[in-house]
Amino acid sequence: MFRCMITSRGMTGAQITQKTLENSGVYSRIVRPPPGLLPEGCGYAVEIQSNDVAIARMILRSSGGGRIFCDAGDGYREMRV
Amino acid sequence: MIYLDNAATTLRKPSCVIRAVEKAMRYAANAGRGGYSGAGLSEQILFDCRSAAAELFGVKGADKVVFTLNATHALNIAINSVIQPKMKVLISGYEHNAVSRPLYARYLDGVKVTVVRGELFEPEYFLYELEKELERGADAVCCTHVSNVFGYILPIERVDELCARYGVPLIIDASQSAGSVPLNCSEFKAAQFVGMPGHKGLLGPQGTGILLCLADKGEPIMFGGTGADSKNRYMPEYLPERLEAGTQNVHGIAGLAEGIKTIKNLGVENIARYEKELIKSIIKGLELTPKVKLYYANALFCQNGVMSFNVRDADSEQVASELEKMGIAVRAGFHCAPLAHESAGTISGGTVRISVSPFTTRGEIGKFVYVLKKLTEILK
Repeated sequence: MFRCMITSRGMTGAQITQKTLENSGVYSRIVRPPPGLLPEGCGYAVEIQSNDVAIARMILRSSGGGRIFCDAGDGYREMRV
Repeated sequence: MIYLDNAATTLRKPSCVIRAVEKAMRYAANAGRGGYSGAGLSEQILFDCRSAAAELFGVKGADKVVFTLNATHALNIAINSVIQPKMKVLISGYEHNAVSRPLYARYLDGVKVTVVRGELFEPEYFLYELEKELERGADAVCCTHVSNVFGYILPIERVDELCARYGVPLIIDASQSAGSVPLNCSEFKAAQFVGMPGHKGLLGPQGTGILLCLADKGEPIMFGGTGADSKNRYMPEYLPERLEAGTQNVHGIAGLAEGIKTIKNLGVENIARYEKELIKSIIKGLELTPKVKLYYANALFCQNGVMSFNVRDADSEQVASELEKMGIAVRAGFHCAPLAHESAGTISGGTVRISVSPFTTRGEIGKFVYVLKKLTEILK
């Protein structure tokens, strides 16, 4: 099991994503993203388990987007939504 | 003390509001400035309150709920966002200075303000006059939902329809309606912003206010840190961060969240009905008192829990002062709304205003009626 991050520039945006995931039964937590994921500076990420990625992608597609990064061992790689 | 100045602020708050403020003061750190538990608690408080407000007012998305210091702050942001130089802006004849002053302050920009007059408690007449002005041409409308002086409920849904028909954006001042008159924003077509205080009908602490950004946009009047997008020289483009520079009043917002939850549990319709019953009993008790002039709508069809009155041959401030001596708190004068007094014909001396809340009891109202009757016998 590895970690995935859905990035958000604002706290409220991350909280809305978390609430949407929760409504679909996906447990998550809001964290500070690792360096490099948000070039604009401070931001937030909603961390989920890798086995929830498929549901998360489905949710992000229907809610108009978002970016998902997954831990590939040697760093985070962006996944297509 | 019998407190009848709830249109200024609700003095009595539910105990859950006070407990929430205390808890936040003990444990809540700065939202969006750290990953530790104290910061997380603050973030949760903000989101809970945004979500509760969005649900109460039928707003799609917690991100459209922006926290402000009060309704005046919210309305200033709204006006700054919508009103451009040389615009012609229509306002009702019942606006508070929180709307009229920010607009008149823009005279150097060539902003022209036209007051749409209308008789007190005559919503159809107001709509007729508003449409006439819209036909002549206007760029924006600012309208209060409820007059803070007379409790006059303006037909805001139909104002929104008219504005939509003429393609004109609408700003709504919900200072006196939020929490005490049903307000559903989901059907609005022209309304871009709704501003309201947190400390009146929503039962929260002072220093809290809300701006509902229905059009999902807004221009800041304050600039600074947001805890996000730190490398950006400019304010973030997304809401609510774009309009919330600096540390929010998390302690107050914790209380506001509980106030909103209380309102939801009580039901706005139930609150409106109860407050009308209280006003009706005042009318019943005083309408035959010869020296008292009450300002009320027939059957209260367009009035909430606010009512003005005057005692013949007595100054409104003198009446309020005498009531205060007898342990009754009311507000006299012009209530920061000279336009409303001009429209209603009370601009010479103002009025005495009474305003109730869900915490006002029938016994208190009965005592007020008794005391005022006695007072009219004494006052010369």
